[in-house]
Amino acid sequence: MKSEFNQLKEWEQEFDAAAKRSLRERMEYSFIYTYKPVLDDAQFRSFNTMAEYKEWCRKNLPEYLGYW
Amino acid sequence: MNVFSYKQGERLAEAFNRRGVEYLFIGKSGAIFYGFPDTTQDADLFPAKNPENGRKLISALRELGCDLTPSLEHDLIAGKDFVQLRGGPFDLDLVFAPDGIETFAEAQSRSLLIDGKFPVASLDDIIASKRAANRQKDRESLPRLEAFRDYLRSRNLIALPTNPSQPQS
Repeated sequence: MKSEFNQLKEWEQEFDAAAKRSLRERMEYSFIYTYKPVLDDAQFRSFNTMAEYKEWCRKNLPEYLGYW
Repeated sequence: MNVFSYKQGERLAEAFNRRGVEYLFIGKSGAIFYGFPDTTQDADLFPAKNPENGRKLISALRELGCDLTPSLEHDLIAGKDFVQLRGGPFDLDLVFAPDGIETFAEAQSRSLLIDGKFPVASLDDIIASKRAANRQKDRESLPRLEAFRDYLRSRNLIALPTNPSQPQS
């Protein structure tokens, strides 16, 4: 278990490393494809309200995806 | 499946600018523009929610190669709060009413143009939105994102340099 101080130091090292990269490089490392079941199985979805969207997430998405 | 890239971001910004689409990058993808080192799958956009902007958005998305059905086009003009696009050149979430942000105009007034071409909601707005959304994945990422905001402030930066010219010690 990391202390809060050590966690912050580790994050700062990651931020320092990111600062040495161009935006182009940072984006290359940041956007990755990971298939998300259910979520990625339709070409599009639209919701009238954010509450409706959240309710859909609760009813349809596996909990481990972290959408609720 | 193509993931979002700098080049695609440029294409998106050019297509949106040509049509005068009012929008901001938001969410984790927005934070990445500020230099936040993390991973995500899709680009999150916060477009202004009005029929005219919806029509401009449709035109720009078509140019980018998104396959838009009449039903989806109707939704984009009618004004939904959230539209998720898959099956286009990259995954895109259109969040017309992000949690924790009152209006597009207010968010736009606090936004920043990164690298001279990418309009991005302020880090404070991105954080406020994630805090208000309060999903598990938001709760997990918030401490690190807030630490990143504090890191920038402690160095008097509003974003990491987009093209660092010299290695930093």
